[in-house]
Amino acid sequence: MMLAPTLQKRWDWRAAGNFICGGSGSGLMIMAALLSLLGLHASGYALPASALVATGLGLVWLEIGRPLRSMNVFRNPRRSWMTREGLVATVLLPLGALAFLSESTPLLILGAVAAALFLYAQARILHMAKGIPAWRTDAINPLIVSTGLTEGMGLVLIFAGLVQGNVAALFSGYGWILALALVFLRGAAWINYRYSLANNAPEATLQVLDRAHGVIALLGVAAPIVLLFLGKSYPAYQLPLAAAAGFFMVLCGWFCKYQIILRAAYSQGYAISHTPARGGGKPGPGLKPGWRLPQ
Amino acid sequence: MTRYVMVADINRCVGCQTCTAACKHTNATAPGVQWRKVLDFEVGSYPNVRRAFIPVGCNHCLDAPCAEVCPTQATYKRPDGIIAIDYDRCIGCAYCIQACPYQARNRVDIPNKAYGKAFGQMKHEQKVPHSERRAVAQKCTFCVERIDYGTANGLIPGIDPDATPACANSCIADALTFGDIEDPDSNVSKLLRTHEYFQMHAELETGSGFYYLWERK
Ligand code: SF4
Ligand code: SF4
Repeated sequence: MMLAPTLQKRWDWRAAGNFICGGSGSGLMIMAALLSLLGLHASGYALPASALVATGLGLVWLEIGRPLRSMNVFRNPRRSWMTREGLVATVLLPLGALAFLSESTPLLILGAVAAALFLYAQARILHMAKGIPAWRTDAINPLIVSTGLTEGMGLVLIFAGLVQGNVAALFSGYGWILALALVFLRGAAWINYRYSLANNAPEATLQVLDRAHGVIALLGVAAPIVLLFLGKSYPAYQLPLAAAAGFFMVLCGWFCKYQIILRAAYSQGYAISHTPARGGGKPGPGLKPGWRLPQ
Repeated sequence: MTRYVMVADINRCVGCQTCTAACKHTNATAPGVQWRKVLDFEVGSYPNVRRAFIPVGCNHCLDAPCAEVCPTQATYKRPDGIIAIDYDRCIGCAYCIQACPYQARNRVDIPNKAYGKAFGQMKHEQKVPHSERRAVAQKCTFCVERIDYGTANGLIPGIDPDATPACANSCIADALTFGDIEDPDSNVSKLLRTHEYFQMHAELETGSGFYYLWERK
């Protein structure tokens, strides 16, 4: 019988898809509202943002065992972050659609407030999953929030060329600095996350995160920084450089969540703190299989 | 107040899995699902090897992480401390499965077929299909029907076999004891007073209701 932590199999790519699409969508809504305050035409992003969030929730709906009872999800707002995520979505989705149709900045900002709550709720869903050491650390919260925002900014950069003048505005104003700051912030949140798990997670989890680190440092931090600086330096190529930087910002966030939700999600496993005294003998030490250090 | 807990004397347990079988027999759990099972720990290396048999299952935690996260309140705590699941309310989101640090929960989406598709369902599987448990969360109930029957008929859970979980009834070594920890004179309270004990993953502060006795005081 398996005593060491085992990889959770109950939440598959559909659940991961909710964190991927929901995080990117809510991040996009927030960044669109911020950039509209900085003078960009951004209400158009509200629709894809809502669509992404809706797609994520649709994927979860496909995964639950009893989809016809799904409305029961709203029954525990006092304690469950999953209920809260669902409730906020009922506000976020119509606000996004309305902001798009009316091109209204105030509605976009209201949508962004709902999106911020949605993103936070997603982080807390993982945080409260006490059975999975890779999720339950406090450091998951800043990581999920910062990567959602970075992915949102990445999507803004990818599609900035669709609106006349937005690319130039991003590089002449604070937009590109915001993007840089987010990339740094997410990098710091990732390091903080790994640090929080050192000696505090199953060996198998740590191995997955060790392997993911190189990809995240290279594609999620170094690549966007270089591309953003190049964009600032070479105005003629700003459009493709912004899109490429955005692509890596999004890709890294998706990769990171895929790794955390599907690959590093080992259970707690079993442990004993003592072995029994048999007959007239003495009791012995305990055991925590699959963990790097005895806890 | 009442809070039912399980006490396992790991000095007595011989790892015979009779409780595992009794639970399967009583609750007709699906193939591969064991609400009660006994783990086999081997500690140390030759020649200093020790072995311990550890019965596990739902710990009916005081601060149950599964109930905390459940979006539907299908998982809830009864006044007697038992963590129960309302199968008709559960949406099968499996969030509770991720929240339980004891791997006590399962979700089974297909009807029970111990011998696989080719052989179809056996007669007893057809008789007790437990379709209400299909595609929703499930776990050890502390044989709640027996406890409810017992308390309704003046029996004492943990003392009277008809009011006691099947695993505790069946244990050949008297290693499993069930009872009310809030009652200072109960069988479990006495055991906890006279023995050293631990709770699994105590550092996670779940308030586990499963106590392992490892030495007499
Ligand atoms: S052992 Fe797991 S399923 Fe049982 S009450 Fe505790 S958290 Fe819930
Ligand atoms: S699977 Fe059922 S009992 Fe578990 S959290 Fe979801 S709704 Fe609650």
